[in-house]
Amino acid sequence: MNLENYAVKTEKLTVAYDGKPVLSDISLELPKEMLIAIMGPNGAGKTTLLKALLGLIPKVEGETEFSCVKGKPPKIGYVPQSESIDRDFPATVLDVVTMGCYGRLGWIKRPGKADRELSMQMLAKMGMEQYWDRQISHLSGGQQQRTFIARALVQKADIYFMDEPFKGVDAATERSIIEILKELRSSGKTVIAVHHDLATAPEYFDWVTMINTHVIANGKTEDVFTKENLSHTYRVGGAE
Amino acid sequence: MSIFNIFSDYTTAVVVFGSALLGMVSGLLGTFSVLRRQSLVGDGVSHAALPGVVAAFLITGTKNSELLLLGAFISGLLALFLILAATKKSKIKFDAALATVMSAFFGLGTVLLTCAQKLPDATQAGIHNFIYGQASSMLRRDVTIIFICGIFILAAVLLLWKELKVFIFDREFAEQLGIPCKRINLILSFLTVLAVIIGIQTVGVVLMSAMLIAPAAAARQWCDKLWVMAVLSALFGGISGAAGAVTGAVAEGIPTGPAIVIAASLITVLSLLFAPRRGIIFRIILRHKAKEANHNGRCN
Repeated sequence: MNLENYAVKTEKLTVAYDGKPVLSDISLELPKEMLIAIMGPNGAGKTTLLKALLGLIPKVEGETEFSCVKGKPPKIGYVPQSESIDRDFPATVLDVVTMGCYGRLGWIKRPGKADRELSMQMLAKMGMEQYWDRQISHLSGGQQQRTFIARALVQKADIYFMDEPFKGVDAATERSIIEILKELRSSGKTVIAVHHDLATAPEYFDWVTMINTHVIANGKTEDVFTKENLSHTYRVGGAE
Repeated sequence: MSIFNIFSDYTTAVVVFGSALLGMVSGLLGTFSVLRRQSLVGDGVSHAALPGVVAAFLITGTKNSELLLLGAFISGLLALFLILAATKKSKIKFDAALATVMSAFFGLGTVLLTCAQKLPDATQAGIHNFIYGQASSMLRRDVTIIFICGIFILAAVLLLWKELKVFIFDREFAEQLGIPCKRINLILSFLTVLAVIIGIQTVGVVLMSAMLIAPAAAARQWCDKLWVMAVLSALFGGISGAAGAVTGAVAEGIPTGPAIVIAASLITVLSLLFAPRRGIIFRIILRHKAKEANHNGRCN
C-alpha cells in the first residue's frame, strides 16, 4: 500500500522490553484527516505502538516518519493512559488543562491570559467548564478523561494520539467525545486512538489498524473490519 | 538567656536567622521530594554526606565550612547516582538500593570519623558534630553559604517551574511535550543534594531529611495548588527553623537541630489533624455527618 496522504508511517518498527519483542516488524502507513483505531487484544502492544510512534520509548529498529503540515513538522497532541498520573498532585482542572500549552511556551515563559482563556474554551467544549477550579483528585473517571482530552486540545495539534479515550466514561460522555473527534477530523486533523470496543469501532472510526505484536490488518474500516481479521487478531492463545 | 534579649545578642541572632533561612530553603525543595514520592532520598543523601565531610577534613586538615560542605556535596551526589544507577541497571528496587547505599556510606563515614578522632592534635574536635548538628556554632559565613545556595535553588525552581510541575504530575505527557525529563530529573536531584548539604552542619546528617519532608507534608494538607504548597512549605520550614533556634538559645541544654526537627514535626502533626478537608478530624466529622444523614433519611 502506498498512501499519498499519510499522516505517519513506520518502517520495520521493532520494540522490545527486557529483550522480549513487544512489537516486531511493524510497517504501517496511517492516513491523514481520518479517525484511526488501533485495536488488538491485551498485551498486543497497542500502547507501545502509540508511544513508539511518538518517540517516547526506545526502539530496537525501524523508522517513523511524520508528513509535514504546511512545510513544517506536524504538531502532536497526546492523551496518555490516565494511570500515568499522580492523582493526589495539588492541581486544579484548569492547571492540568493549561499544561497543554507548555510545549509551545518554551523555557522560563509562563502561561498567560490567552493560554488560560484557550484552556477554559477547551474545557467548555468538553462540558467541564463548571469544574475548572476543582482539585483533580475529586474528579470521576469520566471527568478526568475529559480533562485530559481538553488538555490535548489545548496543544492545538495536527495529529492527536489518544490512549483509550473512552476508558471509564459513560455513554453520554462517549458520544460527546466522538462528536469532538469528528469535529477535529472535519477541520483537517488526524486522530489515532487505541480502542477496545469492537461494537462501536466500525461506527466511530474510518480506519482500523489491527495488531497483535505484528500488523494483522491496516485499512479502511469497511475493508478490514471483517470477521476473519478479527478472529485472527483476537485468536485464542494469542499474546494474552 | 531570656526570650526578650535573643536579638540583642549577635551570635544568637545569626543562629536564629540562619536556621529560619535553612528551613525555608529545605521546605521549598521538600515540596518536590514529597510530591515525587522520593521523601527518603533526602535521608539517603544526608547520611551519605558524612564520609565526604570527614574525608575532606582528613585530606585538607582544616575545618573550613566550604571545604567540608564540598566534600559532603560530592559524597552525597555520588551516593545518589549509585542509588539511581543500581535501580536502573539491576533489578534491585529503589528502596533497597537506597537503604544499602545509605548505610554503606554512613558506615564508611563512622569509620573515617574514628580515624579522625585518633589524630593527636585537637583540630578534629567538632567534626563529630555533623552527626547531630550544632546550630550554635553557626557563623555569619555559614549563613552566607545557606543564603547563596538558597537564592540559587529559588532561582532554579522559579525558572523551571512549569517544567517541574508537569514532569512530576505526568512524566509521560511532559516527555511528549518535548521537555527534557532526564535533565529535569538530574537538576532536581542536584538541587536536593544541595538543600540537604547546607543543613547538615546545623541539623546533622541523621535528622536533616525531616527538614525536607515535614514542612512539605504539612503544607500539602492545607492547599490544592502547587505554588501555595511550595510557599506554605517554605513558611513552615522557616517557622520551624526559627522556633527551634530560639528554643535552643533560651533553654539551656536543648540541642538546636533536634529542636528544629521537633518544631517541624509538631506543625506536621497539627496539620494532619486539623487541616480542613484533608485533616483527620475534619474527615471524622464528615463521616459522622454522613452517617447521621443516612440514619435520619431511613427514619423519615
